[in-house]
Amino acid sequence: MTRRNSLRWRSLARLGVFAAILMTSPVASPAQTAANAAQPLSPDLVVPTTKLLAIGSFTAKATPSLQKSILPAEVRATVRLYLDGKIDQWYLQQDQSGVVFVMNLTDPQEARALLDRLPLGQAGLMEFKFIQLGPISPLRLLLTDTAK
Amino acid sequence: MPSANNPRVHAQIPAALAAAVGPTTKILAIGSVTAKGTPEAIAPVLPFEVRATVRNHLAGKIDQWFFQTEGYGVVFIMNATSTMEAHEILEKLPLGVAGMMEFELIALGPLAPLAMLIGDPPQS
Repeated sequence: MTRRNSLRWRSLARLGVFAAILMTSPVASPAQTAANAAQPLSPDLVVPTTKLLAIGSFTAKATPSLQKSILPAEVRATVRLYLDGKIDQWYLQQDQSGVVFVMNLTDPQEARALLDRLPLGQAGLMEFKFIQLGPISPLRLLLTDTAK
Repeated sequence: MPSANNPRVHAQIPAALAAAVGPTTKILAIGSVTAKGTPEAIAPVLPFEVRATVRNHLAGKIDQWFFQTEGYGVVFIMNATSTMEAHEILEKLPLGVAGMMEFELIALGPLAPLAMLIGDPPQS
């Protein structure tokens, strides 16, 4: 085994021991105290909003004939929002209740204004709810090398 | 579970859209903390939760992961083809086992109405 490999294995072994301690310890170790003190929206968990999840649902007003006449225009307007960089990802809800967009926006009001201008929104046939998204902040707990 | 009644589904879905639904390619998982999941209760579990979540990402099960910046929860976009498959993965996460987090699961597929742009007949 080369010296480099030896170091690598020793390093991995140390990681293994560390992981084993973390996985078996029923109580927090002192090293974890700071992380475990995390309250919801404590500095450890606070991250900026970088995306919006937009969940669109057909309203009760959305009868088949109304939707059918509007759908082609809706598709085109949606593609335009994508080309403008506003919609990052688009999906259809498989139960046919509506759509799901991941949007390159951080302000739900801005997103609502854009989506309400879509043909289905203008006709009152689709409503959106928004969830503000950010980086998966609990990952910070893995950064054991940086004391906070 | 995939065929469970969903109160959000309106009874009147246009036939063109219904016929155009493609395969389920992703599952949207919206995780919310339960009443049992107080900050004090969650804190000691969180390091385990993070590691289990990373393992699911590395295994290709969790495609995208986000934190809900208002409130306290997560959003995953999962590489699963049924809500049942996603449920089986998520219920094993430590916060799920402890009853501190619940997931709303929404099956997703390609934006089928895009087919209208290329003049293709709806796929069944």
